[in-house]
Order: sequence, then structure tokens, then C-alpha cells
Amino acid sequence: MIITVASGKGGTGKTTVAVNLAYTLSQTGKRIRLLDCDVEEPNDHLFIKPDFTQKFQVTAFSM
Amino acid sequence: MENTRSDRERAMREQDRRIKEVLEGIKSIYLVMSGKGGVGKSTVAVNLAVDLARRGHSVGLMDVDLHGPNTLKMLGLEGERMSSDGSYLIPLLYDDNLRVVSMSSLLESSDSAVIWRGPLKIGAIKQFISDVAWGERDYLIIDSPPGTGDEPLTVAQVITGARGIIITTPQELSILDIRKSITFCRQVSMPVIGIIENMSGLICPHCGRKIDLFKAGGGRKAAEDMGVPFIGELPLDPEIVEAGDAGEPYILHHPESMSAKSFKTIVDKLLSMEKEKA
Repeated sequence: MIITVASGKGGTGKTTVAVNLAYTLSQTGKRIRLLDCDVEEPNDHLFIKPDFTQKFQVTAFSM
Repeated sequence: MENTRSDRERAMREQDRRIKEVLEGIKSIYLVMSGKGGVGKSTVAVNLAVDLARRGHSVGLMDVDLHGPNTLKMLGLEGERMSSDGSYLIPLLYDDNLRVVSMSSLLESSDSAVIWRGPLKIGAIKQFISDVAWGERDYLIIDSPPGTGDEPLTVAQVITGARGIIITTPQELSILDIRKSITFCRQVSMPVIGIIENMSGLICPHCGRKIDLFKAGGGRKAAEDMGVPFIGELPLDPEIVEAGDAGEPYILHHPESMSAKSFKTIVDKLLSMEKEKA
């Protein structure tokens, strides 16, 4: 199952809901992936403080 | 094919010429921005525009939040459509001194969604300048969506002379995000006028004591850390929410409220900072 957390307005709690939803589901023994797609201001990692184990170089074409 | 290409190039040159012409008629341009959503950009932009107009300046308010434009609703202009004189779009008039342009005055209904990627957004923002009868303005206030995406980037690249006013709440998360906004401004060579800390404490309507709902002092500290001016603080006030939803800018409709007084102090400070610089 893929759940997208979205909103038209900023500051409504998207990140708070996404992170807590992921954490709560993970406590039920389910295997969860949490994907932070906010490319400008990603903040999920501030809430759950993960250990980053891998690093990839990502490139995008520029205009 | 050749013809189409040269037609397009001619149209682009004409647009650039027109943008330059419009911008020459505007004295000061402020881009209201933030890293985080929901911190009060539109509220500040709308009340700043209304207050400058009230003080007798000619003002333009341009809403470049194309996906979630809210300024018209806050001004009580929701549902009004822009008309054209054949050559240019006529901005909506809030009063004699304030002209307003927003995506929402071009949409079918308030439920319509704008589903656009970069190039279309860049084109729309350019047209908001080139195709609009702004006339001579003392101030143009631009309300931006949160973050450092296409909209503020287009403003920085197209609207020469625009300067950033950065809005934050005191909470750490918002502060982290506006540090990115300041870095953005530096990278695109857009001067930062300063930081406004919004939602800076709530005065309890029952006991009158201040509750620091989102902590306190973060904006001032961020300004010191990042080496930009701190403009001031605005309290959190349920009346501001009511006023915004009702389309009645609180600076006009609740002039005696603490929020309106704080806001006027901020506008005074902004104007005196500008005078000092001049």
C-alpha cells in the first residue's frame, strides 16, 4: 500500500502526520518505507534522526 | 518552422522590453518569502500592501503562489475576475491606491487546481509583470509560495530590483528552513531586507498572559547568525485568522488590536530602514 500525505496549504502538519504515521505503523511489525519528497525543505529526518548508512550522488539536468 | 521560431523570439524580446518598462515605473519591490509553509507570508504581504496604501503610497500586490493563491480571499476580492483593455490585463482594485493580481482572478472557481510544471509557471509570472497595467507604483509587494522553487527563482531572475522579506515562526524547524531561504537569496544575488518573526507568542484571551506556542526569539537569533537585519515580531492572534477568512485585513478592521499596532511598528521600521539606506 502506498499512502501520499499532501495538502494545498503549508504549515498544516504534513510532515508531522507522515512521520508519526510511518512510525506508528512500524510499531505494528509492518515493514515501512518513508519517502520525503520535499526536495526544497526536507525535514522528515529531523523528526526521526535516522542513521544514514548509504550515500548516492544524484544529478539533474539544469535549465 | 523558421518563421515560427523567429516569431517566438520576437515575442520574447517584446516581453522582455515590456517587463523592463513596467519595472522602471516601480520604486521598491519586496518579495515576501519563507522556507516553511503556514508561517504567515500572505497575511504579512496583504497587510503590508494595505498599510502602505493607507499611508498614501501607490501599491501593487502580486500573488505568485500559483497553486494556492489566497491574497484575494484575504482582501475580500474573492471571485472577482481581471478584465482586459485589449492590450493589458487590468489589475483588481482594492482601493484607489492598491492594485492586485493573483492567479485566483483567472481561475474558473475556487476549487480549480493549477497543475503546472516549471516552464508554465515561469511564463505566468513573467506575464503577471509584462501583460498587466500596473502603472507607476511606489511599492510592489510579491507574495511567494514557501520554499526555493520556480516561483521565487523566477522573481529573482526576472524582476530586477526585488528584495526579500523573510517570514518565520520562532520554532526551530521554521528557522532551519529560512536559513535555506537566505542562502537562496545570496546565491541568486537578491538582497535580503530582513526577517519578521510571526506567531511570536499568543496573548491568552482569558488571563492576558503570553503563551509561547512556537517558542520565542528564534527569528532574532537567526537574523544575528545569518548576518541579516531583524525587522520585528508579530504576535499570534485569533483575530488575524478571523480577519483573513473574512476578507478584512486586520490592519484596517482592527486598528486598535495589539497585532495591528505591532504590524504598524514593523512597517515604520521597514520604512525607516529604507530611508536610512537611501
